[in-house]
Amino acid sequence: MRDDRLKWDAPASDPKVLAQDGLHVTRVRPTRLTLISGVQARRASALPLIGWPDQVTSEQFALCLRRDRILEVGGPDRLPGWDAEAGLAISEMTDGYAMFHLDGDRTLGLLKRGGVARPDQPSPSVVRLMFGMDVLLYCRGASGFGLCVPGPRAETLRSALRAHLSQHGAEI
Amino acid sequence: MTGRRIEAGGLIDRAARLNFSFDGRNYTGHPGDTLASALLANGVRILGRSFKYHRPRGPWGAWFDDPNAMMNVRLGRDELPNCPATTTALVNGMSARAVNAWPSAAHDIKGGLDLFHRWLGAGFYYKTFMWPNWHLFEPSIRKMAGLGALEMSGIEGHVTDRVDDVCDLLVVGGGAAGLSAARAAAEAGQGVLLVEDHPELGGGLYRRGTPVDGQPPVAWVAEQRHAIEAAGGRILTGTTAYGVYDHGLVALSEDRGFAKAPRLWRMRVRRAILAAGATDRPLTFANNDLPGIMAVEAGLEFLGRHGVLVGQKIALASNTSFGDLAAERLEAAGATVRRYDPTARPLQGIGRKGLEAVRHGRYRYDADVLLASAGWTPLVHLWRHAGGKLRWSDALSAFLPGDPPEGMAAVGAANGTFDLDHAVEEAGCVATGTPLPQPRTRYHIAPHWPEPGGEGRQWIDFQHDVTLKDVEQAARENYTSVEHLKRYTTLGMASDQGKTSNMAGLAAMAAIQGRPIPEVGTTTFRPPFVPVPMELYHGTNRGQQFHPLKRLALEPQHRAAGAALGEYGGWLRPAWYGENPMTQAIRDEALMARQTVGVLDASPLGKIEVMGPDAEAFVNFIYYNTIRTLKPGRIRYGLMLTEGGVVYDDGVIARVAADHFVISCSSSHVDGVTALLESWRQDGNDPDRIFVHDCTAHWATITVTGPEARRVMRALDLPVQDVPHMSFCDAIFAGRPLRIARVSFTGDTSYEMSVPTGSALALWQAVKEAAEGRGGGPIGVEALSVLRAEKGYIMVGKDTDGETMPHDLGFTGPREKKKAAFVGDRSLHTATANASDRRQLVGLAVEEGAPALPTGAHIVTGGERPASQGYVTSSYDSPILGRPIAMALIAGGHARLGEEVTIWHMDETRSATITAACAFDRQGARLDA
Amino acid sequence: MQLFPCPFCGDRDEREFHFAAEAGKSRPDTTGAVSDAEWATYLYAQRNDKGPVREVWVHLTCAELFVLERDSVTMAVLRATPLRQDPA
Repeated sequence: MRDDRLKWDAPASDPKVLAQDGLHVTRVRPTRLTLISGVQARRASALPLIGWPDQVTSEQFALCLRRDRILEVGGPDRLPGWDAEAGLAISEMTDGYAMFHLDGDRTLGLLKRGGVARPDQPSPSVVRLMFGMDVLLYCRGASGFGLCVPGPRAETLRSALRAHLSQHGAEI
Repeated sequence: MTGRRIEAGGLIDRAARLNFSFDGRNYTGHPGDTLASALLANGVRILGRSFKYHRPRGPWGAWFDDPNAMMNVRLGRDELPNCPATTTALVNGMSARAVNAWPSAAHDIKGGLDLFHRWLGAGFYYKTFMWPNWHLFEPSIRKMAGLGALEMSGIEGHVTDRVDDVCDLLVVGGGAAGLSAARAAAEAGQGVLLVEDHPELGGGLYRRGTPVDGQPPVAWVAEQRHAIEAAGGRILTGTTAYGVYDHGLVALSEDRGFAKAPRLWRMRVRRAILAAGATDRPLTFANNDLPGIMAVEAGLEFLGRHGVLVGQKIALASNTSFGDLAAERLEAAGATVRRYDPTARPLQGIGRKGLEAVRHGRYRYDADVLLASAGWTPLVHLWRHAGGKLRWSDALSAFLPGDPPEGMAAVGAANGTFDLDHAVEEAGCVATGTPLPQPRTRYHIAPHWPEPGGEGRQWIDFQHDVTLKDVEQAARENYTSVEHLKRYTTLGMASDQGKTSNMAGLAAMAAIQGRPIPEVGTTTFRPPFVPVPMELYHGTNRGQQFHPLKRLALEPQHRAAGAALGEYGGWLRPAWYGENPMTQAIRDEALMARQTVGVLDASPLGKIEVMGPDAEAFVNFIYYNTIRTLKPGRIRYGLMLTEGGVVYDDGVIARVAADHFVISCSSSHVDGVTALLESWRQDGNDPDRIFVHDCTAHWATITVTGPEARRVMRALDLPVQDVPHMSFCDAIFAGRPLRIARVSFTGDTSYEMSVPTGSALALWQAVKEAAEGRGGGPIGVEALSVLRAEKGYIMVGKDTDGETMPHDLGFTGPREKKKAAFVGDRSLHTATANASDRRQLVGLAVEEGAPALPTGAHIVTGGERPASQGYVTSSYDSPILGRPIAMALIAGGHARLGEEVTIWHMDETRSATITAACAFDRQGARLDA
Repeated sequence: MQLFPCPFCGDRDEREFHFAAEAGKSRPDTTGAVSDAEWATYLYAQRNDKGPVREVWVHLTCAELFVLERDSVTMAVLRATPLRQDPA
């Protein structure tokens, strides 16, 4: 085994990931994330259910991940485990995702460097492959996006976005 | 001097001068020039050397269809190899050198190789270097071969920008047909993207020079551009559509200037119109490779686009009606033009280092340039990439687009519509879906193809030096299929990929065999249409972006503690800590964990929740071990098999409630196990009664292990009394949930504590401090590997391979007793599974005082020719035992305990004794100490 | 690069998908007797048809398994059918 510590930049802790020419990427900390699966999962939350390209307008919403799975963002505290009465599997995932806000006119151009995500191609779910990893991508206002990756991938996403902007930022 | 710049005309800016050099001599050109056009304007004729015989070469084509003028080009600090001079835009300060020639293209010392051509024909390598051994010849041949030389320093910032995008209609080609199609479609409201590979729109209009719709080309092109953009269409110039892939994906390479990586567009298109045009194909005659012989179209292109008249006494040999216009254009520019009918009698080029005269039949005529054309070949490459068929047209002597691929249409010269007005009309109709007029053509061709048995050396592939005689020889030796012909002679394998040579090659083969051309067929058209740099596929996926690793929440703390970091199963994890050399550090950590207490960041361990009314039956089916009988609050070790019965993963299963399990699979298998669970859940079970949540990322896991582990837990005021081995309890730490599990991968008392990653820092600091107060501290993955090997605990994929079944590891119970079905069950009862010589997991003890065995060393039979009976899977120096330990997979190993065996590694043999896999604390007394 | 339809998410790039199995195979009931030949057929026999094929694919990003009918020669996608009914 060799020591590779110098091959990898230490993870950044600054929530301001990028701020360049009107393009802002910021890491945000949601108060609570709850993973809910079940036959009726898409009707299980009182929060607005968000697919692509539905607009998120408040701090509380539910992202549709699958036919039978949602992720409540900022939702109520729920008892984890199998809820036999409601037929729902519930897990807390607050610390499981890293959540980023992308803002500015050029965000769509940046996203085109990571994969296909076009507002005119709707999808019931917000999951997709972007920048080589599984992400949750949703719309926030006219030129804002939310992007979630599993926590261990936060650094990968940061450095991918940085690489695109540092190499090609002016032309995005 | 032959070529010269004319006073007016072309798209160049005569007011500005660009300085450059070629093979050490200085020249000037203008913006709008290519390297080739500027050199021709300076009267330079020899721009390169051929690949095999080092014959002098001038440009045949004026764009991507030139295989001859390849250069290494330097600009400032940047140097690129193999730049085609005909497509490289001239930049002030460029310094170019012909590839494959030394000291210069004009005086190449290897030019003498041409004298040996008789012995260097097709199949030369295959025949000559068989005996005694190819490897004897290879180094010198490799040195001789190859084109440009690479600059090893690379180019800073040479990073491709890769963009995913979509469009309704892609128009490929910005000539008259492409512009007309794009305009008509855009004005009809379609979302149009037009791409043109030249820096300027206009395609073939400049070489024709004739008005379009009554306007001169430049004005007409400007009007079309304006109309397309006004209607919302997009235009990309300097952009080549180089490949069409499945379901309408078209790859576009956008030129961004010399030594700048092109931009890659992955364009998903609904519909595409191919308006790529056509190229001249060479005439095949003796010495048709001399510098000064070029395509008719190239001669006109240099004139119309670059303002260069390529010769003063021009011989023009064309078998098409386009020859008339060509002659007119060249004469108007000041050349004397003499026309030859190539179909009437054989042509011959005369000259040594360039064309001096033309022999036509018995007559010899002086000429400095011969413009030749054997007819036009539509550029159907993208059509074929997309799966479109070709049809042979006798009238045009060419393969034309036939049955179309889905979503693609061809217009203009690419479709065999060679007359300008017809092409414009056709493009408009196709773009808007209006009915096409009856096909008609004024273009006329008198078919002319290579004639086998002809005099002299007649070139088919200019760059690779494949002549008509080589094709004849290949046919004699039975390489008659065009695909075989290509590979045997290397015809069409030059950097132009057969754009100049394929038609002549297959027509020659057709003539030799007396078959019609369409029956001989073409070789396969594959992307890329033109050479593209590998960088296009690389982009920002380099350095840390090449194979990014998952990162631990506690990485900053590990770095602060001086951890060496390494990749383990896709994660960047601490290998060991501190400043000591690796071996010492690992040894100290392993000993510390045995003597006091070790603290390990085990966060990558799987935390996959399985919930629902059928969860119990499901987990019981997934695992080899019986899980049904597991009680809530308890944990069980289990193996997960493939349907082939091979061990895929091992882990522990915790039962939280009747309908709630947590699977803790190995760190590197979390994604795989989750996918496998989903697959069995949805395909074979009722997915409405089982739900799988991979919550691994939410939790950080810290393991405390060693004789002092219990005291560390007490010091933290954490409940330990209620947690017997192989059970867990839930608690609260700093206001958030904490799960404490008693499982051990070291053989010592261990607690695995999981908290949400946000609380990991607080827990880590508390545990580390408590451990350090008792003589312990953090340990890395390397020390853990030693500790688990001392106990004979396996790492799947290291101590098992693609044949290992659970009974090979000593886990025989479920195979014999488990009643319920489980994944892989039937595979455990085949003749192979029951064989007595299966490789089984055992330990190995070395001789007193001997060093550790090399991992991977083979256990061999004796005798003259030793055969392998297995191999060492894990081997370490055990600090607590004071001797080396090892595990191995050995044929029939379980019945061979105590046997002395021979170990072979890199031609050295040693002996060792087979033992049980567990070398330390075989009674397990320390587990619950 | 192919474009596949996830029955739930819609058209997505092929990088989001993975082949799972040929459709129509069922696992022999291993609690009863299963011959070597029957088991070997289940494990290893693939139809590998030229032309229209029925296969189980998984949309990796949303984990949905579904039946994909496609043409193994032309690469045309013929139909995607969920393995299950939509509950909502």
